[in-house]
Amino acid sequence: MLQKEEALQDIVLLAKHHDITLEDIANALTNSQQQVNDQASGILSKLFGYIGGIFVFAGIGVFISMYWADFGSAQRVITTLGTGLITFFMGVACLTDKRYERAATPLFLMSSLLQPTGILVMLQEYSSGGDPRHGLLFMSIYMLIQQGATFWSKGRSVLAFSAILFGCIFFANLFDIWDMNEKLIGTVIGISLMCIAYALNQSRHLAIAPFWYFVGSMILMWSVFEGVRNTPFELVYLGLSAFIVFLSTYVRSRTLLLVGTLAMLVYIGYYTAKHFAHTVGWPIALVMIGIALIALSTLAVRLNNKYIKSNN
Amino acid sequence: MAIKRFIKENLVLVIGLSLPLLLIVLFFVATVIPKSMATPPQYEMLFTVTKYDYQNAPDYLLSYAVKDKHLVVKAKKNEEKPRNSNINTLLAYDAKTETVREINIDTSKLTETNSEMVVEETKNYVIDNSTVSPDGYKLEGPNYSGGGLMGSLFGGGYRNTGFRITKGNVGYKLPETQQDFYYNQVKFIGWIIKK
Repeated sequence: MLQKEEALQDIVLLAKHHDITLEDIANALTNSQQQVNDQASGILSKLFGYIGGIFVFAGIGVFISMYWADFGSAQRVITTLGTGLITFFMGVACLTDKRYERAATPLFLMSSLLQPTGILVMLQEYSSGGDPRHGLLFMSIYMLIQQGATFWSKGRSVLAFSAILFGCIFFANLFDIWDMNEKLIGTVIGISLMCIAYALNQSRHLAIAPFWYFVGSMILMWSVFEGVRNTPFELVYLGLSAFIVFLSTYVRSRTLLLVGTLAMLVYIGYYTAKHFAHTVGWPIALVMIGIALIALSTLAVRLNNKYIKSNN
Repeated sequence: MAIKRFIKENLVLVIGLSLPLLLIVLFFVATVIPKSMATPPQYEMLFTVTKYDYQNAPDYLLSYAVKDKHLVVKAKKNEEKPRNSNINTLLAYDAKTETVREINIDTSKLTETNSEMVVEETKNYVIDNSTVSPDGYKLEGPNYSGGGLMGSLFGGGYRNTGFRITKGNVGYKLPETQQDFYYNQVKFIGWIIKK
């Protein structure tokens, strides 16, 4: 009964995010065979779209690498930044016509690779020197504004992904220029990314949420460990990994469960190696790690089945 | 009202987006505000940096020291084989303008001698070679560190905080001292009390 109610909640959430009406759901349920056919053609269309994108990108890449040494500064900028800008505008144009909508994602992906490369090439060719981090800062703020504004307007997940990525590059370089403590930066950005991933998971962009959960939690765990290692607060790390496991059940994320479990296991290994490595108790400790691993994996599977799988 | 509703509906997202901005605010509160309210160092700092110039090896290898509150130099003929290409450059840092000026020594007047001679260009300077200046500032060396996982993934990476003149939370970074840290080490001489 509980599962049914939760499934209904998920349906309501998805319907809200995708503007699906009751009529659409009723139609889909009555024409289930049509739905299967539509899905198959959708997959084929996506597949050809992505493979086409890879071929176009490979072609551009091979062309640029073949003639790179012969290119002058302007040609280098045109072939990278110019191509990136064109693919970006093509991506935006594709969104205006339903027939070409599926080509938008590969085009946006290409543009978010070619444009930053082009900007960095432009700075390399025409700048008068200086700190390379300022160049990265310029590139990332330009890309963040472009991708963020387009995401705001068009609401595509791929644009949300690249906006977050360039936001991370921007803040990483800005804080680095200001000589901020890298552990503090990691902790703040890690928590921030996890919050953003939670929001993505609650929206129709949930496909990119696991990636940012993974990156955010890894950065957070890494930074906290660097901060508390060899201090009296070292056990805080173990507490945090337990908290991540708890959080995974609350936000229903397998990714967080994986990171939390791995972090805990790694710490158990580190702690054992540090304190018991050269004692007779080491083999016993290894057995203990084995038992802990089995216990944790059982617990992880149980948590997954009880709180995550049942809700998906 | 619409903003309030948006915040209420997307509280976690708002927290996530606000955290880096909050860090920027905290950074300003912790560093920029105390610096703007503090009295800048009143005395210029004299120091040397070692620069490597393979094509223009110096005729004399110079070493500086403070004797009786005056800067003295000891010159040694550069006869090493191969010739020593390290040049000891004398600089003064003015934290009020956050600029570094080079004090050029006329090497034509130098002769190899075991005794130290007062540097002509700074003969009117009164120099205090205490670690801490009369107004409480001191030179702090750089901290080298990796950028952590964040730096490895998104840029930043290996970093060197550079040399700074500090007093409590207030710090002034010496410019252009970290381009080549291996051959660009700062060696403190003293504070110019009077010119």
